Amino acid sequence: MKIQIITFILGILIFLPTKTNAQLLEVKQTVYGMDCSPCAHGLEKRIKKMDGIQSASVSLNNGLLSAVLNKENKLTLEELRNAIENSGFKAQSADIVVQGSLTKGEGKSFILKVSSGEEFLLIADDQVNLDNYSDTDQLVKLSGEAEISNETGIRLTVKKINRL
Amino acid sequence: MKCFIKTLFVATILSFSPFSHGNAQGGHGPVFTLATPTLGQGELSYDAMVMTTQQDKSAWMLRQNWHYGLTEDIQLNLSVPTTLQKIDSPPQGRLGTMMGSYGDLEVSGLFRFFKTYPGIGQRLESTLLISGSVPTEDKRGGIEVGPSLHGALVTGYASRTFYAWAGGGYQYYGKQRNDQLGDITYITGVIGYRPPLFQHDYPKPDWRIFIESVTEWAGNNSKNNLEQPGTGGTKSLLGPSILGLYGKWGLSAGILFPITSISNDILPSESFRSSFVLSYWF
Repeated sequence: MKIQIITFILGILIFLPTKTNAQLLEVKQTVYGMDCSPCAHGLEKRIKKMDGIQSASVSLNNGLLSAVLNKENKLTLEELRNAIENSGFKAQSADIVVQGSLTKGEGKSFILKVSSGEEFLLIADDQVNLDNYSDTDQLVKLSGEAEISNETGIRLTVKKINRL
Repeated sequence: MKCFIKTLFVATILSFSPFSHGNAQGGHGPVFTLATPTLGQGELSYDAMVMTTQQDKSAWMLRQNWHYGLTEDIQLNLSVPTTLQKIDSPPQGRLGTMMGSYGDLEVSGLFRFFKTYPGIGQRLESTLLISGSVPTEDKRGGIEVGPSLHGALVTGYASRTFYAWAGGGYQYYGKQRNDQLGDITYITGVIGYRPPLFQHDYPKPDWRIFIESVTEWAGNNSKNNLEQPGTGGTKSLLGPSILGLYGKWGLSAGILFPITSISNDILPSESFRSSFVLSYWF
């Protein structure tokens, strides 16, 4: 009897729906304002200290912060951009790879929800049809360009999307 | 020659001490003139610099400057002088505009009140500097030295290729036992260039050159409440400097020569000012 109860509980835990694997994975963030070595050094050091960062590097000539994030991280794009501002520079658009839960928003809009709580308002480019992913709460991995953040959130133009 | 070697040795040792980290004039650029430094929030840097000026005889000074980024737009600085070789009447003027006059210990705050980012690697910004100083010596040129207040405004452009800053400031010395040093008004201008050969990406070495200019108007001193005519003067100086950066290290050096000098007939005119700076970022 005990074994049956334990098996039943384990079964529930294994098949319980979870929101794992919903996070930011890679970021190539354009940064304006870095002109010299100490700028890059300071920013790179600040980003590497953040929880969830696996690796980070800065290019002065391309004005680019490239970061790879750990699996199961809780870091948001907004936190990365705030770190850039705190270093004295300006975050512009970013190419990101992110996986999260795709849900339909108001009207024909789609929202990607990430486990950290961050949400992206999705816009499809010509090659992508988000209607194909209109099943409720699909876990997807996508790459695209995240615009500069504003009061309404972060708009993400999707270039590639896959179901998980 | 022995004195010079000894001075350089002392400066080098101090620059590697655990208490030292630095940044030429607390920022990215020129050695003598006003600029708009950037230090991220919570960042700390420090300079160790050897400065000399010649006015008949040579005066040598070591300066240690601490810089802290309170926010990305507000920077606090402490500049501590150590006189290595004194002369009886050092030239009036701020040997480095962002670090205090000859022999003054100075605390300052920089507020970057305007900034805009035209593109990759570019910044256009303006900064206000306010500082107060106390002298580390009782007399300078026979005049009792009091504390001072100083304010400056600078605006400029920084990019991966070109730099330019222009600004001006005013320093007022308080009375000390009926003596008073003349006030100092100044303007500065600097242009910089990073040759394509040195536009390597981080963390490769990064060098740039500057042409710096300073024009100072020094007021007459007062002794026993009596103005001493001819103790002030006007001078313009011009000269080159270089700045090399590699990762967290920086090295800069520069020299200014007077190109015009409408000064008093009492003191010999200044021959040059030079500075050598070693910098390290945490």
